[in-house]
Amino acid sequence: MKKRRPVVSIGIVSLITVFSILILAVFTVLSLSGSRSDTALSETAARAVSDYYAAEAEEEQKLKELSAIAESDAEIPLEKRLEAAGFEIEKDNNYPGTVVIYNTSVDGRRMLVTKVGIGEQGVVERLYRQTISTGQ
Amino acid sequence: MNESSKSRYFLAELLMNCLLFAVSAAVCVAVLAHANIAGKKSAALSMAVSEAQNVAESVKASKGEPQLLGTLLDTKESDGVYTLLYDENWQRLFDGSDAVYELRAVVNIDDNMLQSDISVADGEGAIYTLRVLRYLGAEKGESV
Repeated sequence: MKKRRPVVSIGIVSLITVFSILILAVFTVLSLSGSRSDTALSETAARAVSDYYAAEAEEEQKLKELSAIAESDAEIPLEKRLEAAGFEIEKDNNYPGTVVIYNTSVDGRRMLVTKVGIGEQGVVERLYRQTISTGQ
Repeated sequence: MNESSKSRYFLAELLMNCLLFAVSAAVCVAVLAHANIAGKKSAALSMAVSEAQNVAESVKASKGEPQLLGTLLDTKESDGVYTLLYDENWQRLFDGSDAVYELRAVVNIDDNMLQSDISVADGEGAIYTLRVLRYLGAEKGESV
């Protein structure tokens, strides 16, 4: 009986080709996913830095506002003027003056806590600043 | 089946596989080139952020003194603009030749508020921008 050869032949050459293509595809996908995760990481880091400096700029604006309040007309007591402007006053016996604490949101997960001292002459002094996690 | 027929089948299989491999290789090379470009862009963004942050901290530390900022950045000021040039490997260039990246920091003081707009760009456009504010009317405490 005569043996018939199939129309599409699968020989050793086809097997090597399929194997090569498979390896090529795997390395390509790995390379692409690696570069994508790198891009995502870089963009996240860039956004985090931008958010931090934006919050810091907002905090500096508040500090300027606070300084203006401290230097303004002293007919009304300083603490009342600060409370009227929405600033929180903290009791601190170690500081010879008024201590104000305020928060600025950095992003959904971080907050910039600033502690400012106002001296006898209405001079504003940066006492403490820290980024804390809000745990969200 | 004679030898001539065998050779013909083998040749057809070989050609078919060559074609398939060529098509796959072309697609894979295109994807790899895309991944390479994306990788270079993300590396440039990371470096741009790092350099911009470094300049931002120098601006804050200088407290608006142009000479001190010039010393910190190791560059000269021109109308409140500080320009730093880098080559493709983010090494500082001081003569401006073959510069690939440029960092510009525009610094001004308005009503006791130090402002600086920092931008890092390459030939295609801006990579990263950062705005820094520092109130100069407040004294610096020990903890900050």
